[in-house]
Amino acid sequence: MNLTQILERMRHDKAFSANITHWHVIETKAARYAPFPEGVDPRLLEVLGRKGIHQLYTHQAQAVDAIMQGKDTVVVTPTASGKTLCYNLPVLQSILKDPSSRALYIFPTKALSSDQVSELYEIIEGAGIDVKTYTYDGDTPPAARKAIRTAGHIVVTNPDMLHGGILPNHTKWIKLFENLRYVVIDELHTYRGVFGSHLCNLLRRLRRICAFYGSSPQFICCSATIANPKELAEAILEREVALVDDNGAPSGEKHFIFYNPPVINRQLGIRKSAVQEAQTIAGELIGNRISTIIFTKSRLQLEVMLTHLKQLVKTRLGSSDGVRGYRGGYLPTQRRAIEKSLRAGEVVGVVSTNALELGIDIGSLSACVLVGYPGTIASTWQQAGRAGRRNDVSATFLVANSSPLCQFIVQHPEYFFERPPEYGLIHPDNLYILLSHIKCAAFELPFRDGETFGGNEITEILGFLEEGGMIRHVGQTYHWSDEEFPTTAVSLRSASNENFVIIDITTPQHRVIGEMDRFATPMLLHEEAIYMHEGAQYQVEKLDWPEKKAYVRAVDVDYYTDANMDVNLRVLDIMQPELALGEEDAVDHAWGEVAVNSIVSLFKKMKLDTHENLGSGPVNLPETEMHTTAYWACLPAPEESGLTREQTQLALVGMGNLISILAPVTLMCDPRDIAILTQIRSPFTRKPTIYLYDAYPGGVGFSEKLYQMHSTLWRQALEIAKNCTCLNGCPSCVGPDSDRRVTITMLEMMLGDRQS
Amino acid sequence: MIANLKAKLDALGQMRRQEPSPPPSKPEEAVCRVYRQEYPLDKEEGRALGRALRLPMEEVSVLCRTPLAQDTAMRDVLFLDTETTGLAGGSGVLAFLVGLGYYEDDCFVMEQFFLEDYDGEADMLQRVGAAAARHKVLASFNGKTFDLPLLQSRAIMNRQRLKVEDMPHLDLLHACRRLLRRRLTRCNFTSIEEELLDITRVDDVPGSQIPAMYFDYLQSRDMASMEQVIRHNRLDVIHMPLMLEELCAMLRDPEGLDYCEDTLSCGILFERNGDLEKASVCYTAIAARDTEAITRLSLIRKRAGDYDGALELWRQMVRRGIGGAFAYVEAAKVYEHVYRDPAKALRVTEACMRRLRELGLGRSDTMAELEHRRSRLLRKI
Repeated sequence: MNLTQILERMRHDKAFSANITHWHVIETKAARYAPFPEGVDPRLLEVLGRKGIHQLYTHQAQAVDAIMQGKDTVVVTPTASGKTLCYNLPVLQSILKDPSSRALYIFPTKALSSDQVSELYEIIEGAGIDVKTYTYDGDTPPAARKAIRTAGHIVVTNPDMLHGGILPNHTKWIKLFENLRYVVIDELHTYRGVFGSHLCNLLRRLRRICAFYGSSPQFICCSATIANPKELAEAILEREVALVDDNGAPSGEKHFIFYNPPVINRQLGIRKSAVQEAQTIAGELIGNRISTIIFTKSRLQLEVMLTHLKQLVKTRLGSSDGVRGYRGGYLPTQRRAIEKSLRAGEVVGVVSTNALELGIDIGSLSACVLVGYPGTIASTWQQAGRAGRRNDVSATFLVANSSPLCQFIVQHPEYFFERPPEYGLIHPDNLYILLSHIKCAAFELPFRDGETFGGNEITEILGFLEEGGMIRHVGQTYHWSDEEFPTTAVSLRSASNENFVIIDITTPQHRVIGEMDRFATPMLLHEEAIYMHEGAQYQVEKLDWPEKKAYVRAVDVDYYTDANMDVNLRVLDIMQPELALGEEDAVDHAWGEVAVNSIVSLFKKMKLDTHENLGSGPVNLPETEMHTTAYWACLPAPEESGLTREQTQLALVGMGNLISILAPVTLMCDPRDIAILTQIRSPFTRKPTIYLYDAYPGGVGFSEKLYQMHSTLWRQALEIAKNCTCLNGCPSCVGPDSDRRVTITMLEMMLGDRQS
Repeated sequence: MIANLKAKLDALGQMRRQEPSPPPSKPEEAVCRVYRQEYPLDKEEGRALGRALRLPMEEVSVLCRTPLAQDTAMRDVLFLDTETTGLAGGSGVLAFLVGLGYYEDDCFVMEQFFLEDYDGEADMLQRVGAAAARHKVLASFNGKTFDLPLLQSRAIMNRQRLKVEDMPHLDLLHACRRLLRRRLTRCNFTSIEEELLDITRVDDVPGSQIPAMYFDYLQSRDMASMEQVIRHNRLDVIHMPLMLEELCAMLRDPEGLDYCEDTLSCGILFERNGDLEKASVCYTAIAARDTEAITRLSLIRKRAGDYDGALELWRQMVRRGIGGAFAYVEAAKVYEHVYRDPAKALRVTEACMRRLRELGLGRSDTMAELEHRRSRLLRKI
């Protein structure tokens, strides 16, 4: 069966279609073209012509035009609309005109940059022009680095390498910085929140160095669809940007199907597992040789899904090789091989985490299955965009899980299709982030008296660093004065840059099979944990915390492990309302600085198919502490409200659930950017308290925003709780573990609608 | 700026706290402090340095594998060593002390430029540049990788140009490695000093602590520790000509060296320089004791067309059971292609195969190649 036939059958299958909450069809869209701008080098026109490109899509022409006029530009393009030509064309043109001219391409990941270079090579070789393009990242052999530094016309890199490798060694890159004409920032939408704040500061450092060498590059950004691409680009670049967002590329017919697994327990609001339902749908597609990508929410889900699908294709297609996994923890070489076999069509199904969300070219896939709502409208479109890159019919299935956000989306499709996608917000002057980059900048070039950084007056910060002995003020100049290489202490991507290496010791020849970030490690690689990799099970025998190594051995067991993390929170300072510590009794809501301590102390063994608890064990790992900012709200204590302690606890859980539905929507952030903690009697406020904290050291500004929108937020929560049609609590309102009526009562008391 | 900034920065808890120091006294003008010391070549320490002055530059050129102009003399060499604020590199690391040594009249002159504070750097770099301009050749220990790139980077930061790229550079670390690494496990400055110059420093500062000592000095202005660093740097520089002298002495009498590893190293250096005659002398001297020497000697003979001479060595190797299959295979090749004697080549090949089987290497790649050779020879006979 082809995809159209499968879709037709699904539509008429009563059992299946009963679970479809929405079937959205996006009609075929024809291409709109515009001629190449005047003055494009004939060699470029010729090679593009040979690739079948005789004219540009309208958005490409607009972008090239704006760039050639010298404007900093952001191009918004969906997947597969030919965005790379928007920057490759002006960049190559400028190098052909002036061979001393240089360009820097910044991609968020290494995988993307290697992809880009191969595409650029094609044009360069085809045109027979002398434009040297190199990737400069952690994998670049030391022997090649010198040549790249002096001879590379186009240097392709990532923010981490720019931060730790290029900027601190700018004197070795004179040729680049003296002649830097263009800086290309692709996948701009990924630079939201903390990562974006880092990038903004990185660019402040870059421009500072460029100014030293007398260059002033023009910036070209590309972004997937988000609500505010121009605003985000201007926030990151800190200057005015021309927006090009009228997409002229064609697209084929797209089906977007919202699938809600059937309820199997109405009282508890429990639905059939999304993983299992997605597995069935994906199996049907792959079994019919429809190329399909499945996005899972976690590594664990990925591995479970992969095992089942491999089994399935083995029976239906005769070999399990047609399905592969793809996620961040795989080693680079392994990932390259998978990408290659995808492009070659040797693989029919890919199970991925969001590592593939970005624009890696894996050729055209016909279908996409999302296990659960990816969390944001923008990334949902990104992931769905993996299917149907060409002009044929494609389909995306969003299989809802029982999470409140997911249920909200499948039951309110208009929300998804009509609301603008998320906003990209950054907070580059976050003190923690700013301070880190000022240190790096001081190392790179001494600060002069009165010099600002990103428009910030920084004398006070420099004074502080001087007092700590890190910089030295002499002769109107602040010099770096510390042995530390400041960039190594700063990681752009998460609070910690420590990765744990996973070593397989099953055979005497130990080998590294993957790595994991510092935060996930206590949960997934504690001793005795079952670690899943490429569908195989391993048990962690030893976790060497100081050496950051986990030793695992292949096992075959019928359970997986699930660890609990205990999180504790202490308030360090109240920012608003302005109060001294100790006056907090009178406050019902505030925001301020907190220390969050987390420790994993226990894990459970869960049976693979039934998920029953088979027992538990202790985890002995050190506690981690993070300083961040939090917003908190206090509820009336039982003695005031007349509710029992148990009811208060239920209300806290219910409010936590409501707020986790609302906060990502109202803050327009990624759900993972904030975390929620409730305390029945907070040692600080001495009342039942709900805390929402920024999940990043130093905070990124969400808490302050929540504080400002305090009453709107809780009023919306009350609306949701009141309007829900469930019996007494379901995942879409207060959650199955709470009590809807009690939560409503509590909210009304809190908002002053009801007297206690 | 944000309120109570300091308290918040403190709360981030990542700064090491230090008591605010009294405002340091600064030099009046932004210049570096210059230390100059002369070692008369006819007195005490100067005598050894005087011997190095008489070194023939051809030897130095061979030793350092650095081409030098015909008229170059030791008086044209500028010895250089830096002490820096960090060992990891990067544009924020600078040299706070540069030691230069050179011959002038009847003395070896030691000049050291010390930064009492950062603002003296431009002056220091200018002085280094001027000294370099008065010389034709640079000499250092690991300066190609470390000191020079660092000084060049700092010159760029100060908008100066250090015109040293085109100067021949004698890097003694490389020379030491070439001649000593087969014997010594470590080729750092200290171990070379001990082995080659028989000098063990007393009360020296470990290099790894120097950056921290300088930062302390900037706060405390206590010169005592800096004097130690200045002495350390001075010793580094004045020991360089002595090292050069000792290394050249090794090349002058390679057969007379105590360790056959060193003789071998000399031989390899000569061989790489195309001086096969001297290389052969070295290899011959230790051929009875060293497998690599006899191997290399046999190949030199073979390439020169002295097949009888080469065969004699290979026979020796087979007798002594050294070098594995190499001697057999080489001999077989010569019998087959030069003497046109496939029968003899076959006997050697088969002998080799027996030997490999005895050694339990019956399944190796070498064995497969021998098998191939054997069948070819059998066809020829």
